[in-house]
Order: sequence, then C-alpha cells, then structure tokens
Amino acid sequence: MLLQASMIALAGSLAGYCISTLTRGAISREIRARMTAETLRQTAEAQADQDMLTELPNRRNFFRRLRERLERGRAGGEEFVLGVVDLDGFKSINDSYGHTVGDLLLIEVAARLRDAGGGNGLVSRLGGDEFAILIDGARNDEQLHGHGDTIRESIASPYLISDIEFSVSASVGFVRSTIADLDETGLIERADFAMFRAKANGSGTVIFSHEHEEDLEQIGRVEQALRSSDKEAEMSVVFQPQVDIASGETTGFEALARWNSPSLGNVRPDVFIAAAERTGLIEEMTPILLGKALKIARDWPGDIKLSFNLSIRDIMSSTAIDKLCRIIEASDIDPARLEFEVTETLIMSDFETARKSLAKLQTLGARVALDDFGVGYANFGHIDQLDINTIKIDRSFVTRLADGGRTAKVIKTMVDMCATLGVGSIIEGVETEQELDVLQGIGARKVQGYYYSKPMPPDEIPAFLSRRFLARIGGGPASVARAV
Amino acid sequence: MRATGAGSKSGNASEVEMRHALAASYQSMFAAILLPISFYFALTVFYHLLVADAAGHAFLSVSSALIAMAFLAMGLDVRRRALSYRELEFFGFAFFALINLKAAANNFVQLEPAKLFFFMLPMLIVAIFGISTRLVVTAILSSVATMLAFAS
Repeated sequence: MLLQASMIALAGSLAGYCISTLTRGAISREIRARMTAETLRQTAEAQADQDMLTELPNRRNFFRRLRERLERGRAGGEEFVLGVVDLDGFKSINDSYGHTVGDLLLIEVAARLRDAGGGNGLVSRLGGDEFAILIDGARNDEQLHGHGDTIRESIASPYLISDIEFSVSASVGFVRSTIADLDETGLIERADFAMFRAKANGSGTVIFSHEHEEDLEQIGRVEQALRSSDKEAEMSVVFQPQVDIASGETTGFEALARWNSPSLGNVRPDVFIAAAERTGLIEEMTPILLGKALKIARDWPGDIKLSFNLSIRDIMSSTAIDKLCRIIEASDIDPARLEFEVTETLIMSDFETARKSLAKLQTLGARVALDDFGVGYANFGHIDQLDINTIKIDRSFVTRLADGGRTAKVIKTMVDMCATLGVGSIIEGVETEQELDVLQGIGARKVQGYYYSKPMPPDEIPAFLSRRFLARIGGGPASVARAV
Repeated sequence: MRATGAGSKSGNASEVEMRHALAASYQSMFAAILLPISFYFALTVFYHLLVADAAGHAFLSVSSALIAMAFLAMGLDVRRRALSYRELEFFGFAFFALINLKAAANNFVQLEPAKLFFFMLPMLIVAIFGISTRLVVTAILSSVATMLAFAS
C-alpha cells in the first residue's frame, strides 16, 4: 500500500507542480504583456503631452490643464493667473547663431522659467519661443508685476552657449481667470494680447485689464469688418510728398493706405493694417492698393517717384511678390520710378526670403528703401546685402531735435553715411520750419512730413505740383510751404 | 552607483506592480472556487449526520460546518475587497490547511486506503489557484507527507 501511495504521491506531486508552473507561467506572461502595453501607452501619452526639446508640458497638455483649471474655478471659485512669456528678438539669435544654439537657449530659458515661475504653478512651452505659466491663487497688480520682473530678470541673465555669451530679454503678459467667463482659448488670447502690448511699449510686463478688453473688442470689430469689406471700393490711397530741400522740388510721393468702412467709418491705418496683417488679408489688399497707386502715378510727370510700403506677408510669400511683379509689369509705368519700402524688423523675420523677394523687385528695375531706419536693428550689413537704394531716417529723430542734445549730430552722421555709401536718404516727420532749417544746416537733402503737406488725395496732386512749380520759380522751400 | 540604485529601485517598483497584478488575477480565480467549495462542505455536514454511521462522524460534521463557514467568510471577503499578494498567500495556506486537516480527520475516524489519493485533490486545487511557489510546494510536501503517513 505504501508503494502504491508513494507512486500516487509522486505522480500527484509532479502533476501539481507542472499544473502550478504552467498556470502561473501563463498568468505571469499575460500580466507582463499587459504591463508592457500599459507602459508603452503611458510613455506614448507622456511623449504626446511633453515638449521634446524642453521637457516641459506642451501646448496640448497645457490647454487641457488650463481647461481643467477653468472648470474647477467655475465650480469652486478658485482663482488663478495665466502668464505668457515671449522672448524678444529670438528670431535674430536663431538666424545669427543657428538653430542648435537657439534650441539650447530655449532649453536654458525653460529651466530658468521653471525655477522662476514654476514654484508657484505650471510652466509650459506653447511653441517657438513662447511659454506659458499658470499661477494658483489671486494676485494683485503689484504682486504680478513683481512676478513678471522676477521672470524677466531670470531670463535676462547672460547665457553661455557653445562658448558664445549673449543676452535675451522677454515680454510677459498676465491675465486673471476672473477677468471674464472665458474658455481656455479666450484666456490665452488675452494673455497673448497683454504680452504683445508689453513687447510693443517695451514695458516688460502688462496685466490684461478691462480697458484692454475694449481694445480687443475693437480689434475684433475691425477684423470682422475687414473680412467682409469690398476692398476695391472701400480702400483708397493718399500720397505724401517727398521734397528736395535745396531745390524745393517734389521728388516723389509715398502712397499711404486709407480705409473708409461703411460700418466703422474711417479706420486708422495703423489699426486696419495691423488687423490685415494678423488675418492675412494684407495679401489681398496690397495688390489692390498697388494697382490703384500705379494707376494714379502713371499720370504724374516722369521724374516723380512713387514709394509703396510692403508688409511682411507681401515679401515672405513668393506667390504674393510674383503677383506684385505682374501688376508692375502690366501697369505701363517705368519700374525705375517705383520704390518699395520695407522695415528692418520685417527683414529680420526671415532675411533670406526677404532678400530674394526684394531682388525680384530690383530685377524689374524698382528701388528698395529701408523704412524707419535708426530705431530698430540699424544693421549696416542689410544695406550692403540687400542692395538698399534709399534709407528713410525715422521720424523720432526729428521729433527729438527740439530737445537739443546730439540728435542733430546723429542725423548728420546717418545722412553722411548714406552719402558715403551712395545710398539716398529721406528724413521723415518734418513738421516745422525750425526742424527744416536744422536739417538743411546739417546737409540733409530729402525730407518728408506735414511741413510740406499732409497725405493728400490723388486729385489734389496736380494742384500741389503746380504750386510747387510756381514756388520754385518764385522762391525757396519756405515759400513752397507757405503756398501749400 | 547611482545608476545601479535607480535600476534596483525601478526593478522593485516593477516587482511590486507584478505582485499587485498577480494578486488581482488570482483573487478572481480564488473567489470563483471558494463559495462552491464552501457549499460542498455544507453538504458534507448532512452526509456525516445522516448518511455515515461510524463513531466520530458528529465531530466530522461539526468540522465540515466550521470549514464551510470559514470558506464562506473567506469567499465573501475575497469578493468584497482587493487583497494583497500576502493576504492571498495566507488565504491559500489557510484553505489548504483546513481541507488537508479535514481529509486527515476523515482518515482518523475511518481509514480508507483506497481513498488516500483524495489527499492529492486539495493539493491540485492549490497548484492551480495558489499564488506563490512556496504555497504550492508546501501543499505538495504536506499532501505527500500526510498521505504517506496514513499509508504506512
């Protein structure tokens, strides 16, 4: 019996052990497969929510968390502040030092932001050089300005990347979650608006307020009206003369856009042009305005030039610039009489594309002027590389002439530099006889401004030119102005 | 050193997760058998009282009732809450011990050599539903030892 029991025990033990091993092996394998799949899913989810460069939460993740925070805020009245941080002039760093350095800079900026702002909330990268911060709790203006200063000071400390030391500044915009009943997109829009205000006025930090809300509504109304406008009928061009001081001769006119909206009335050019650039409608507007300006300029005397401003969207799109070239070719006007004005800021946004676009216009025979010179980068390399024909010295220098100081010498230096380089110069914003006298004294040649004439509709140009002709026969520039 | 530490930490975390997942899988299986087995022991209470006539069957009937109640309690507990690996292992030991002791008690009261292989049955149940190797090995060794003890 013992032998029989032993045999049964042996067989049973072996069977039990095998069953146990097989069962637990199968279950363990299944569990491992599930765990691996779960780990992979979590990794993929984490990667989809993370900015690969800075390892901060990305835009998608940030928007989700912002939405959750807003819902929590609505349920329990929990207040928070949203901040948007944007680096100033990051594009030029990328262009000058390359994208590798730009990326390393963004990584360093992200680390500093995490230290400076992350203690109080969530830091995230929205894209490019734009970051967002969520700060829990209510904050008064003073606290927010202090927080903005901390962030900006932290970012402004010098960087040493690839043995290159450089500095970068930042602009910060804040908006409180309680400003209005908004969704996450509305809140980001307002923080962005505040940040752009900070960038535009150089104040560093701006907190979105109810006054800004009115501005934003106004912008919305303008954009809406612009979208539905009949641009051919509602848009027009006016012209401001450019005058040779010595001879009193009008050398050209700068075309300036005007919009008379049926619903909004006359809209300020800076407002509707900014709206057109934001919405991309500028690409539709520029050909219409250029066509109108060319049609009018065709009837002017052959020695009078036409200056026309181009926007960033016009020169960053080869389709848009080709369209402008076709309009010029079809206009029966000598392209040598045309001068296209671009700003340095515009060129810096993508130097290579800007160079190619401007070269196309120059190939036709048109000239290129660098507008608002002296207040931006004032990069002399651009004059050389872009084969600039004219430099338009910014009106702010003329405004500062009355304060005395070295402004006159600065203007003289720029005028002399242009003469040395063989580049024409025009000084903008001349409004008084005193300013004109000073400019004449330092050897300035061409000027533009209200002293000679404010922008005029096309039908006033023949009379203006006739008066100019009579004045040239009868007297100097002062008599021209008096006649005007 | 740091890497090794991190690796070991990660390994421990993975081991803990594995045990957690094993416990979740085995708990559902364990829960599935406890109530039927409890019902089986409840039936044997009546068998010992009504059918069997040997002395000591009253004791076996009481022990069946106690085991049925213990398994019912365990079955309800296993269904009510999530058990840890250790708890499931403990329940496995208790499950096996009670059945094996009941089988031993049956043989003390009335030795049936032809039915000694019945000691293998609880062992096989534990082999299928036992969460740990040591539980299964303990069950195998105990069953073999008990069976051989009665055989000799």
